Amino acid sequence: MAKRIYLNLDLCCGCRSCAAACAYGHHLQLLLGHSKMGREAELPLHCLHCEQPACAAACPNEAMQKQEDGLVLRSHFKCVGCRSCAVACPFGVIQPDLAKQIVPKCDLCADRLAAGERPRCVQTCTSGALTFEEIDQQVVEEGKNLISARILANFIGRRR
Amino acid sequence: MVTTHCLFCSLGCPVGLRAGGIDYQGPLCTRGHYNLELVNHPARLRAPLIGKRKVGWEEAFAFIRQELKLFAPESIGIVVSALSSNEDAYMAAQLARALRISNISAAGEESDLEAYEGDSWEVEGAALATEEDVESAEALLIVGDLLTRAPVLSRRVNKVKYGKRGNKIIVVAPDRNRTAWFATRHVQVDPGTEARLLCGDDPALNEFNSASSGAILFVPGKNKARNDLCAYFCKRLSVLSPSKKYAVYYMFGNTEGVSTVLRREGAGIISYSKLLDKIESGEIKALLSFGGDVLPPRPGLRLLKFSARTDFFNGSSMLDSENSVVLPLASHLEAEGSYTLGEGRYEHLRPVAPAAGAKTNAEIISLFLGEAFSREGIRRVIKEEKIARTVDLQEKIKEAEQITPAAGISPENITHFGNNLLVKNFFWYRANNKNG
Repeated sequence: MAKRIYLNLDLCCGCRSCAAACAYGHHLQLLLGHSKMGREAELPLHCLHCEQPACAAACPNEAMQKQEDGLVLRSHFKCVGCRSCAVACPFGVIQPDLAKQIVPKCDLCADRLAAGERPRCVQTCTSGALTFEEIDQQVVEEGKNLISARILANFIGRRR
Repeated sequence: MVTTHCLFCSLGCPVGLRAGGIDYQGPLCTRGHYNLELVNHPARLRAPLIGKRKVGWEEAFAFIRQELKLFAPESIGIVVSALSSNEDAYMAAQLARALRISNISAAGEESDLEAYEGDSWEVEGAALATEEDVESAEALLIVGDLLTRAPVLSRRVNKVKYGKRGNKIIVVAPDRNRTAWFATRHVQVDPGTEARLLCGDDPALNEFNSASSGAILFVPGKNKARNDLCAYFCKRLSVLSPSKKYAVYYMFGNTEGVSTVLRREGAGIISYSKLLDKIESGEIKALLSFGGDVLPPRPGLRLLKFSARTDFFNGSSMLDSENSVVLPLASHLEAEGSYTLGEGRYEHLRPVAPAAGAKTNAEIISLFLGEAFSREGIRRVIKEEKIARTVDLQEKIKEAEQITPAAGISPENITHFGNNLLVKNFFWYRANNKNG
């Protein structure tokens, strides 16, 4: 079963250690963004590695591709820095700022995963807010139902 | 992979280092990440500088010797950075004694050193809070913005907050800061009046005292927080009920160790703020700094502001700086030393990387000592001192007479503070040139 990064906002103290570790591991290319939630908390913007990635669909050069193991990875060679994926991403986790002429994209620290270790951001999290856990299939199904219900409700509301 | 410790605050988190860079053993904050980068920084200083001009070590020391002759010992000051090890502080104190310099002080965050003053006032029965004490506490009393200074502690704070129903986190701070967001109770005081609250009869304090076990965590503040009084009253609070313990978190790793060693060894130790006042009034004209500005210049440091006022400013530094003479300094990853960290911990670090071109603090100070003594004659100085400083100096002379020649201070010989081997190495130059 594949593993993903989970965030518990109750624990997060907004120290940005995850962003620092990310920059360190990826040759000072900041793949992990941050957004402020009011004045109280900061939200690390992790890539969710969607089942049907909009960024991959939007990419004109097939640089973004979903791998067999479920990771959505960006090719260094194919990416031309057109920012189509940043526009397409519904969660806003791909930042429009280019680094070295290409778009920064979370690769879930594939080198560390191959070595059997956790991603850098999870390893360095000071408060224990970030965890690396297996995908709970039940939660996924519930989420799908919620999304479909929301779309349906929205649809009905518009028809009226 | 080698394991060492980050020393950029007194928490001292363990860090793993690989050939490529940092590996992540455990939680590490942004400050630790980016300061450890200085070791492999492209702008790292590899040769001494005299006014932006690269020179050799011998030329630099000839220049320093020539310049120092122009100043009386009363107008020379020595600062030892709070990032240097206990041994370095000891050797700097010896240097001050040899040069008859009466102005020696630990350097670092001014508020921290103020707090250390209060922390050193003796109170009977005060106990330091260890890691387990903080995690198992039922109530935390946090004075100041703890999580901004040491975000790694948020793991422990969270353990207390979500560990058991009814656990309390009381934060005393003037502003609604990051730590206050975690608090179950935030006591908002006027800036600088934390000490008044701690010695008074506040409902928040009663709530804290009613818990069966607790820890008082104090972070020195910048806004005239009466840091010394705060540290003192935190200590007093921990005495009032025996289940409460206290800890002070400093900005620089070895603030406590350097200050303690200098106080014990330094003949003319003065407080850091007093030294800065002396620079401001023009009483101190030349300044020697050891352990240097290892951190990049920050506007808050008064020392950097005043360095322009001194006629001669020698500093050891990892990066280029505004000093008259800059000596390339090895970081704590490249030198051996012992450090007194917060929470009563004591770490002995071994070098994990070679210092290319740079010299460790101990080597620089021993070079200084060599210069000073070859001119004045070590034996005369020590003998004169002996009259005033009684027994232990006599023992040191005996040890010095027994030593074998050594080619400098080797890592095996530098052990923790108070070891005689260090004293032996302190006299290594004497064995090298017997006529000197």
